[in-house]
Amino acid sequence: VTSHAWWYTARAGGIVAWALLTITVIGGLQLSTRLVRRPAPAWVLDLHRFVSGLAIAFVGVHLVGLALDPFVKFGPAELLVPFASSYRPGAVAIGIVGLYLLVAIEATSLAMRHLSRRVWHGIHLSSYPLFALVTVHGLMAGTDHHNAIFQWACLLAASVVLFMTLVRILAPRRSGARLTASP
Amino acid sequence: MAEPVDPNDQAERIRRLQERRAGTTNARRSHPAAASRILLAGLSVSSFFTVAGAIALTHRQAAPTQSVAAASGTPGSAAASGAAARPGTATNAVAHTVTKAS
Repeated sequence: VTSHAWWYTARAGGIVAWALLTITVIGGLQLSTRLVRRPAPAWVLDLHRFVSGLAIAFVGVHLVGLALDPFVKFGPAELLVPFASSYRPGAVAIGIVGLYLLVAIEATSLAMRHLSRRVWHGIHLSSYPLFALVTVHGLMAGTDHHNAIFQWACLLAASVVLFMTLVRILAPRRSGARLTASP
Repeated sequence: MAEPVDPNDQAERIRRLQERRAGTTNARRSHPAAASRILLAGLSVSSFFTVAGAIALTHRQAAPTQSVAAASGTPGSAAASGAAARPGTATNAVAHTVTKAS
């Protein structure tokens, strides 16, 4: 077990990061759609920001696990450069692009006051492709794609995000929804 | 017509109001979502260890199957077991089994 500890760390870190990203996206959609009356938007916004930070922390755990695993032998190039990895290059490249999108979204949200709302919003909208990319990455690159629980979790998460996105697009915007920082 | 105000009572009320204001500014009120933050952070960390433990357990249970598959000359079947599969697992399983057998 000890020799595989970093591999388990990478896999568990990736799964938890994906789950936290899903919660973040759903929280953001709740802020913009106000689909559910409670909890209060300020509470959701605070947790939306906090959970996105947690997701980045677990992406870090995922990367550290991969870097330290003695079997996969992922160096900085394999972790940061798309198609540099010999192991499932396409699937890993999707994850790397997702990582850059996540960093861009988080950085622009932290620097929100110094950016125009148009720029911030444009970059924040890439959370939709980010969610799609990391889900595909988990299903293609991960060794847990055979796991029925993971497959059902992906299906459920994708369904909820899709439904809320459709509500966001089709339903008329409520007054005050623009005041909150949400995608 | 308004009732005459008792100056002593008014002074007392002002004193109590000032005390209450001072109390609210000195004692830092926590954010409404502070408890939820702690709960979510705790849940995330415990989920991480639960998932890692579950993966390790599955891997340990699947390990004998891998060795049998590798020994029987079907390295692909080791990777096909899924839960325990990892990059180069089939090759590693064969290598480990051969080493142990020899």
